[in-house]
Amino acid sequence: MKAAFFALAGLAALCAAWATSVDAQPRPGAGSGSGSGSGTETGAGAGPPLSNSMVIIDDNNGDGGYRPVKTKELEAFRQQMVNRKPLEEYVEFMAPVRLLKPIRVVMEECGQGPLSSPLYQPVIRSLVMCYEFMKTMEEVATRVVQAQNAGKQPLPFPITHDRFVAGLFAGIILHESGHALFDNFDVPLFGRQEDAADQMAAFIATQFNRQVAEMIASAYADVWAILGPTPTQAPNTQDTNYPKDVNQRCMLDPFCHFSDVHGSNEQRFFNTICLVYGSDPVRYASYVKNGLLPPDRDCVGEYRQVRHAFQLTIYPFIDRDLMQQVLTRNWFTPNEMTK
Amino acid sequence: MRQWLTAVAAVGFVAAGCGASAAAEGDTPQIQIEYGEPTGNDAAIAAAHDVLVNYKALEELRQFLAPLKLPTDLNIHAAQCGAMRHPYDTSSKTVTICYEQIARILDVISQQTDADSDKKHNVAVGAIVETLLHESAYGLFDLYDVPIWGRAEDAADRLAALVMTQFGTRAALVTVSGAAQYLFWSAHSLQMKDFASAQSPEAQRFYDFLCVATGADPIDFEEIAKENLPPLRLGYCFGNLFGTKTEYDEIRRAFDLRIMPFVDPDALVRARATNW
Repeated sequence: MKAAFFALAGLAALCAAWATSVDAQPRPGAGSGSGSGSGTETGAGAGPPLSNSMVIIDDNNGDGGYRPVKTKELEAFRQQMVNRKPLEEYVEFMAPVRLLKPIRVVMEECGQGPLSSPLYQPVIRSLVMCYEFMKTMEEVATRVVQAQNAGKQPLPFPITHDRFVAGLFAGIILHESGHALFDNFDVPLFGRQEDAADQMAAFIATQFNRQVAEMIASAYADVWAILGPTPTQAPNTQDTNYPKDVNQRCMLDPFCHFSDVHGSNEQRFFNTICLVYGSDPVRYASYVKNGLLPPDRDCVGEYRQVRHAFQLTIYPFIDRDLMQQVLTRNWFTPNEMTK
Repeated sequence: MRQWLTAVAAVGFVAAGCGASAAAEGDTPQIQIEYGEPTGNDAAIAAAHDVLVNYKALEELRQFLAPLKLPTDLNIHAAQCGAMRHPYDTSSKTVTICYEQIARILDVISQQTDADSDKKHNVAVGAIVETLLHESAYGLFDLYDVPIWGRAEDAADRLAALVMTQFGTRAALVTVSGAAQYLFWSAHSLQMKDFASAQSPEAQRFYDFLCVATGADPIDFEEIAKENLPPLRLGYCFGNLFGTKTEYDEIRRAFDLRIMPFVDPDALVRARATNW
């Protein structure tokens, strides 16, 4: 079907060395100190002030929640984040959510390679966004746009640089927020939690206007194509590059690869676009018509399932008026919205 | 395959206590069972039908589900579906166990020339019990209006795995290990359509089952876990120093929140005390 998207020669080679460095293990407590999440006009668009005192930017010694970096190459990206203020925007975005316990949010150098995985740490209720991952995605976006300009279509959904990076950041923080909400509200999780967090991200994205929804969802879908295909054949264990680390070996094995608590990149791609389709099968009819989604997958049913789960377990904690403000507010810059 | 089925009959289906008197005790009037007659001359379908009927699989399942207080009748039918699976019917509240799926289980097992008859028997038991519980899970999700986060197929698997671990070590080891072994044997090379499917690959289900079971009984599943679960996953199954919940904790909590309120506690004790 669309195997080409997951076997991109150039991007796969670029990402292959990184693909096994994705780490989903919880890390020891990162960051300390207290901070405040006061409402500020930091978003791309003006609007009434929004705030959530239960979402605390984990300021440490005045870093504003944007931890200093050890790797020099990350400093410019860190500064970019300090200027863009995504953590402050996140506090505002979470205004409608009546959390039962406070959560912390921080950006830092996670130290596990270019694809250091953002995470939510339930023990300390801390949401950590990693500089490395977003910086890597920025660089990948640049290469993808170059390939697109050269007449290729490396990704299922064509991108522009800023739109992809902003949409991906939003998708990721929505995913991690899913973990935070599941923890905060003691949400019953019958399915796998990582899939559930992906569903949270896609579902919330689809609640915005179409432009924002597609921006977030397409980036969040495209990233799985970028991160490369699941191995379908046993690796060559005699290869000099065959890793010594048992976890990395596992990720190269077509059976063991599925021991990961995350779905495979392909699964996550299809799960995401399935929910988008299910949110509006008329508008997104081309997904099935063009073979992106199999016709026999009940995506409308899946969307209804997620919506029902949200209605029962999350919606009671949402302030409706503030939710409307969040849904109608302009969160992204014009560049970030440009297709 | 016929010789193997005879061996299964000789060893006995793990759902012991078969017989009219055992089936009558604890019957839940609200679960209606039915064995559809196979059509055509497919020997594999007929064999699948015979296995379920002869070992009173649906009767056992009904008795097993007896502690549940159902808001309305739940129908559990075994039938020839024309496909491997037939979705749960929300309008008629009908769970369908397809003979095709049972036939596939028997076929996969019969091809394992290296496995002895005891192992094959246990795998058959585990895989068939898993199938019954998995499909029934959809009925429970519907009847109790259970919010499902994550993929529904995984939710059904995890609920089945949880249930399998609640009736003693022996039952857990046979059913969970059997189901996991079946998934291992039936794993196949994936194509893109498999990734796009709402059903998870056998490999993924294999690890999910073992992880839930390990969390339920880390002592008796320790050896199986360490042999089969990679280090990256073990922390989610055994728990870790940071106090994060295991996958068993997760599904157990979900069950306690959304299904346990509908369980008759005294009937549950009796069910757990039964020598299944």
